[in-house]
Amino acid sequence: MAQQITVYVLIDSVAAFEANRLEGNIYLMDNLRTEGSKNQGTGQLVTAINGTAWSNGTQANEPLLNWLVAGLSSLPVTLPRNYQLDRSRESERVALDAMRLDARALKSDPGAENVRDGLIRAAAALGVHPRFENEHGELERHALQLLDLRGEVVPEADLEADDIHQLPPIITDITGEAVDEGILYPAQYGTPVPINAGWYWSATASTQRPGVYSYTMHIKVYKLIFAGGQPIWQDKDMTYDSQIQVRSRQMVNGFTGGGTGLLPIC
Amino acid sequence: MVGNINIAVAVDVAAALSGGSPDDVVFLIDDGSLASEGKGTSRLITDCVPGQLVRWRSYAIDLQTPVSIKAVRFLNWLDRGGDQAVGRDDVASGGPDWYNDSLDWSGIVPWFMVPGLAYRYRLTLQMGTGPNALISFDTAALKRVG
Repeated sequence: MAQQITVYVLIDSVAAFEANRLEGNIYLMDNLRTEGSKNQGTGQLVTAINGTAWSNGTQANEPLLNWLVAGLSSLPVTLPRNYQLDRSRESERVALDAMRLDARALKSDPGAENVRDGLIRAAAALGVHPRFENEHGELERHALQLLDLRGEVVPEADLEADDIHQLPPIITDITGEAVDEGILYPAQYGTPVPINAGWYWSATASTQRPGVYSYTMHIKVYKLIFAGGQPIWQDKDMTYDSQIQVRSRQMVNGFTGGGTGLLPIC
Repeated sequence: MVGNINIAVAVDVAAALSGGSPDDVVFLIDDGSLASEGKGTSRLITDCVPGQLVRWRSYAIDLQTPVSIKAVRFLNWLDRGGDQAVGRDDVASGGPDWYNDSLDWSGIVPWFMVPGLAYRYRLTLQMGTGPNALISFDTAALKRVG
C-alpha cells in the first residue's frame, strides 16, 4: 500500500515578509524522491502522485498528501504545543518570586539600595507581549511573550535582536488548477501533533486523469515590526504555486501477471 | 458457503529498515471465518477451503513509511520440511515500491491441497530502495481444513 505523502514547506519568513513575496524564500521537499518526485529542496518541487487502477477503471489506492509548514526563523515545530506558553509563565514566575523577596526586604529596610537595584533588574528581565491586529482591526495583546530562538524570554531591552522567534507561517487555503480540475480534494484537519497549534492541511488525490497539475498554497507570513515603539505581529497573505505529477498504473495479478487464478501451490 | 480471506501484513517499517528480524517487525492477521493460528505474528497459519479467494495486502504501521509486497512464493515439497529460512532476501532490489503497488496478490485455494498440511509461503516485502529494503520470511502458511 502506498505511503502517505508529506510536502514539507520551509519558509524564510523575515526575507519573504520584507520582499513581499515567497519566490526565492521558500524551499519544498517531500518523502517521495525514490518514487519520482523532482527538484527536492527548491521552490520548484514536483510531487509524484502514483496511483493504481483496477482493470474496470476504478481507483485501486487513495493517495493522501499532507502539508507541513515551518519557518526558518522560528522554533522547531516539533516542540510541545504549550512550549511558548510554559516559557512565558515560567519567566513571570521567576520575576514575581524575585520581586516578592525584594519587597519583603524593602519592608524591613526601606533605604536598601541593593534591594532597589534588584527590583529594577527583575522588572527589566520581564518579557514582552507584542500586539496583533484582531478580526475587528483592533490592536490586541498577544497571549505569548516574545521568545528568542533558544526559547528564552526576550526582555524589552533586546527587542531589536535578530534571533527573535518569529511566529511561524501558516497555510490558510489550497486552491488552483489541481483543485478546480477535481484532482486534489484539500481540507484542514486538527491533530494532537504540535504543528501550527494543531492544524494542518491535507488532501486526497484522484489519479484517474494522469498529467502535471499546479496548485496554489495560500500562506500567512508573520514578522515582528515596531510601530510607535511598540512591537506588533504583522502578517501578510501570500500565495505560492507548486506542482504535482499524477501517474497511474493498472493492477495486475502478482501470481499470474494477468487475471486471478489458482494459487501456485505445488 | 465460506467467504474470501484477506491476509493483512502489517509492518513496522522503521524497525525493519533498522535491521529488525521478521518475527519482531511483521504482523500477519487474517479475517477468515475458520480457526487460524498465530494471528498477529509472522507465523500465521491461515485455515482455508478450496475455492476461497485469498488476498494479501501490506500496511505500514507508520503511514508515512513505504512498504509493498514484492513477492509471495509457495515453497515446494522439498523446501517445506527443511529449516525455516528467515532474514534478508537475496533478491536484487528492483524498482520503486510503486511498481509493487500495482500487483494484486490474490489467488484461489486449489482443490489439490492435502488437508491438514501447512503450505508455507515465502513473503518478500519491499520498503523503499535502500540497503535494508527487502525482507523475506517463510514462516506463514495456508492450511486446508475441509
